[in-house]
Amino acid sequence: MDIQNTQSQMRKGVLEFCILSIIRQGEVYPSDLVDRMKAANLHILEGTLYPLLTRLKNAELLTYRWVESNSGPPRKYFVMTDKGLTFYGELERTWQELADAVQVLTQPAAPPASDNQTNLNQD
Amino acid sequence: MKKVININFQGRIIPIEDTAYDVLKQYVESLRRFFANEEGRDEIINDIEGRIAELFGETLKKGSTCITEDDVQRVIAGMGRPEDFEGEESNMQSQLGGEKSEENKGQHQYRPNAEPDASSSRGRLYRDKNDKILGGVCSGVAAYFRIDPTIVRLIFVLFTFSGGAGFLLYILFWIILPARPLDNVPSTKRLYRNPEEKVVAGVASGIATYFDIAIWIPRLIFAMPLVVGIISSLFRSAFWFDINPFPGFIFGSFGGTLFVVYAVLWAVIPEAKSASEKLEMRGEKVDLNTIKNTIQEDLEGFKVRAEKWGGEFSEKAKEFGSEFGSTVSQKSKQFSSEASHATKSGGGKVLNAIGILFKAFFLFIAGIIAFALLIALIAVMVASVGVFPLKSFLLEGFWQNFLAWSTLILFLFVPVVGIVIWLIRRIIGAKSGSRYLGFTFGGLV
Repeated sequence: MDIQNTQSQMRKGVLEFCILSIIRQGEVYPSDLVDRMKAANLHILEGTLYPLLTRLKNAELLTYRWVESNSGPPRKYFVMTDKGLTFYGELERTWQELADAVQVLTQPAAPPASDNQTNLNQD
Repeated sequence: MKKVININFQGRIIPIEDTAYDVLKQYVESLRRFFANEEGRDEIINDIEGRIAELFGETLKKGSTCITEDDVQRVIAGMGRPEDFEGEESNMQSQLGGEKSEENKGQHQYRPNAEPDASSSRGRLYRDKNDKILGGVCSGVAAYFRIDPTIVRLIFVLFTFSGGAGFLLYILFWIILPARPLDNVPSTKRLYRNPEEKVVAGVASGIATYFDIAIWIPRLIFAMPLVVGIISSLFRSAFWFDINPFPGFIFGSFGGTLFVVYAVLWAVIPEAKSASEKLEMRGEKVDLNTIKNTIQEDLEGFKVRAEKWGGEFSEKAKEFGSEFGSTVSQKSKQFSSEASHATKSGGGKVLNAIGILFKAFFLFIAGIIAFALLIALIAVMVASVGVFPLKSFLLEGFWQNFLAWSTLILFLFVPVVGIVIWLIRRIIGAKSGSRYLGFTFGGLV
């Protein structure tokens, strides 16, 4: 059993959820998205983000608009669609269930913790 | 001291060092390959390029005069290389509903969007949307049997020329089979034309690389019908002068066939242009390291290789040249010794080489027959219509006939001899190293 593989599997599972949750808060430029995830200590290669965003866009969960930039050509900012919002809702519910389940199973004796804060950093 | 070039990169003018540009180009190329089967490939590449351009713009704004190799490496490290994507990609893929088998993940080629059914097990027969010349029938069939699409294409072409069955079959398949983008990495080796060692278009050397045999073997096969045709036509015109006095007849049929076969191969077999294609041609694993190695090899090893080949060529040419002047039996001895020598050096693959020779002959024989007949027919028509009725009006008596025909023969044979010389010299690889050869041929002409 490869520990790294298992770790990255765990990480990957929530990656999409995290990306969508950032975009849900407002339109975002991909490299800012990477920075924000990095700040939360969740590392992703920029090169893997673009294909993921394109796929989410093709699945009509996201859309984008061109924003003029003061240096160079316009930049692509991603926004969530209504379809993406419902999709995100589903994911959020699943995550909540999962987080609760993990919480219960890993710390049987501990009192219910405030999970929302720690969720991101757990990964 | 490095050369700086200006590139238009996603709408920005970027001054970039020559070497850095190569690295960048290679990287984008590797991404393109990685996302080859991805639906929004161009969009992804554009986004990534745009971001890289933006990062370059920032570097330049900070006061750098141009983008260096270090800058490029730093940006690439931030973006990630395709081999770093591999694990992440496959997982994201499965999340978004794409299926991906474990078997696929173990493969070395990056095919993120692989259709597991098609590549890891024999699925249904499809037309391949990704790799097509007309309708993708051939590559679909090739993916089904997991062989090189080029071979299937060749078979179809041959059947087309020998009666049109291939064409009809192709149309039929085209109509019946559903189209689908397939991930076809059927074998590690693919048949390419080899641009590095070519005489006309690199067909022969490509075949040699594919079957791992010495280069002169397929070249000889290609040239053989021509040589044989010319020799036999010489004999015919010498012995059956009156019966079949038209040397163009034989020459036309054999030579024409040869050229057609070569031209067909030229059209069907793709040229190995990029580094990864060259690796595929030689059957090596394609990843970034080997690609880089190949490119470096191309640049650095070129001189060494050229010298090595040059030495071999001139040696061979000298051998051949000194032998050529003597008798035919000696010549054949020389050939056989050369053949055994070459096969030994090729790793003792005598059997393989013989098999290839036969295979090649059988493969081409159908086409050869069809075209020989066609061209022969044309030649006979031209000969009978054009020459015979007029001849009796124009030429009278034995001497006039004799002179006319010998003029005609000389007229036809001088270029023929020239072509033979050229061909042989190209096969043997002589540049102008051997003076004997030149003198011998000079004497002949």
